[in-house]
Amino acid sequence: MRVVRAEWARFFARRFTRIMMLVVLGILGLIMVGLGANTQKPNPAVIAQAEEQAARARTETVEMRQQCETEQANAPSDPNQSRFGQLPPGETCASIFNPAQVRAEDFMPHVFSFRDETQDMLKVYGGLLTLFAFAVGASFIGAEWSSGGVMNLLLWRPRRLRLLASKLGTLLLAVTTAGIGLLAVWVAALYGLAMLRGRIGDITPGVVQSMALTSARAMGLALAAGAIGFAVASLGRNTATALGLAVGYAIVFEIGARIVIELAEVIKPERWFLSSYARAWLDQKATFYEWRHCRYDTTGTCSGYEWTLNMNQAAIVFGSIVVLTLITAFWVFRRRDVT
Amino acid sequence: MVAVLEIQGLRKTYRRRWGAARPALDGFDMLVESGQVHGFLGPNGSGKTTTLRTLLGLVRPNAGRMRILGHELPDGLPKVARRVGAIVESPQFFGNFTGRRTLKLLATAGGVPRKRITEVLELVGLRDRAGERVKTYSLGMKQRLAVASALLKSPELLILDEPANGLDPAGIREMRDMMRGLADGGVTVVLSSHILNEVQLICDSVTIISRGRRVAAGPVSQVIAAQDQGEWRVRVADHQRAAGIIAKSGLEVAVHDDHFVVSKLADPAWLSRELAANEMWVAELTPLTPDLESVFLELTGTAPEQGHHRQVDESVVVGAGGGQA
Repeated sequence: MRVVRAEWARFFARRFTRIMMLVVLGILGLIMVGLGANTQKPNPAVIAQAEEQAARARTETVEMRQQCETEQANAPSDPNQSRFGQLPPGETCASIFNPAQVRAEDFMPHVFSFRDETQDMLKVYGGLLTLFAFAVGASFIGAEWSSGGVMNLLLWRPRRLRLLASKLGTLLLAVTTAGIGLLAVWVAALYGLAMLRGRIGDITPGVVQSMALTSARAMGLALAAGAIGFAVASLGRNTATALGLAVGYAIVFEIGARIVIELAEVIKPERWFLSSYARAWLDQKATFYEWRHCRYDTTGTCSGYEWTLNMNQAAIVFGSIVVLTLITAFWVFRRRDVT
Repeated sequence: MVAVLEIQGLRKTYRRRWGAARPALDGFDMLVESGQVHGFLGPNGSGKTTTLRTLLGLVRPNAGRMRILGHELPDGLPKVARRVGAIVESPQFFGNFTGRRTLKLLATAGGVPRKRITEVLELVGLRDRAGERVKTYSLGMKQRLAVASALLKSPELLILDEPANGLDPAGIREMRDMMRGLADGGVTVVLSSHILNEVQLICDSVTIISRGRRVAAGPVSQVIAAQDQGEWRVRVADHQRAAGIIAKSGLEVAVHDDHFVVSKLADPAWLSRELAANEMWVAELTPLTPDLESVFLELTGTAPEQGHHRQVDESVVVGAGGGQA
């Protein structure tokens, strides 16, 4: 517990941690500025104008529906003469040209909706927190190795596995704390923006639950990244090993290998990239379209098909990487000569 | 006397990914008794730091027994770590932390009361600079901070690897006084240093290591005395003729530019009389008592030779077990 207390103090006293937190806050701030510049709270004149445009559009929609129904009833022998052509299966003129679907909001300038857009903003936060956790996780042990801090600590606490576990535990706790703090700031800022320049929307318990689950998944991804960064930096005995590996992976694999895999026409290439699983984890599932290898339907038509990665698959992939890197890091740390 | 530190037959070989394995310790023995300042000497690459790192659990030995404060190592290390303060090689700290914060973090991890931080800062002379970042410290100040970190625990055994490295002359003197004071207060100090006149001044006993084996050990005076050849420096007007006269009596004589040195001379009065009988009057007759430096160079075979550039691994290899003075 003493080690955890000391490491907790060390984590938040480190300049790298503070700079990284400022960087994350800075990026979130820039996004907030961008959102603020593109939203406008509608005034009565704008609303009235939008209502008028919507009313006109509804009238036009009704006219279109009537024309469509007339044409469908007459069933033209030449489809090329038809204005509306063959309707998609399961659709009717009434379902396609539905005046109830025309909303005044569609004729207003973009209005930020806390209810509708916070989910996406939480995913942005999740991505940033993941990068933050990976970098500070790597630095938390890597800088200790290169500055001699690990040796100093071992002189006080020679039980190696317990020491490394304490450091890792402190890191995860600190990232969680920092993440919750950043999340609170981010959600409060989005809410404030919605109040001042947008609209809140209907916040039901379901919406809140959905936001909470997205935040929890973002936190989970960040903790996994922190643990992986920590493990890799501990194995390499410096921060650069982990950061180099991450940058190398991003450039060589996510970009370079993606090109090669696509050229080789590998089936479902997205399943080989961690970014696909990150997306699946944050969105609960990620859907991809396979167009290189078609499937034949009953009419003999060859067409592409959709396939998905779900969050359980993502959990298995990230969980396996976390477990594997941590076991290796602990095993090596236990046996290694500290020279 | 109670043995505070015991090492028997310690072996450590560093395995390299490419190339041959390099033995660093080859059956090394060491004994340090309670309340002593014990010098641990050896040429570069002789295995001193490996020994200290092995004792402190930083390096895994291949064989051998170690005991500190009555506990078998490495298994008993967690029990004694709180009672052993150490600095190993050059001090390394996080540059962006202040000296005080550095000590505070260690004190928190070790459960040391806060007031001890102020005490050790005062003791090592960093009281007024404790609020500055470590990266602004000179090497000597970092060294002082390292000593302060080792003293934080109020240790019973203090292991210091080159503590005077980077210190100014006054700092070296202060370090010497501090070590002596700690030993007088019952702390056992193991001091690894290349400043041999300092070691001779403050150490009660020494162990000399070469190529991973002990070449000498015991009280400083005994180690030096064991190498005493009974040499005397003699100056007379015609020193070449005088050297010839003394050599005829069977003693070993080495003639230099303006004097000669006679070895194994049991009775200096005899030499005086012998030369006087030949109407030669002795201007100087001085015993050449070896100091620790000359003993060290002799025992380790590292005395500089003109025209020869000695390499780090060129030092004496003794039979396993080493010599005991």
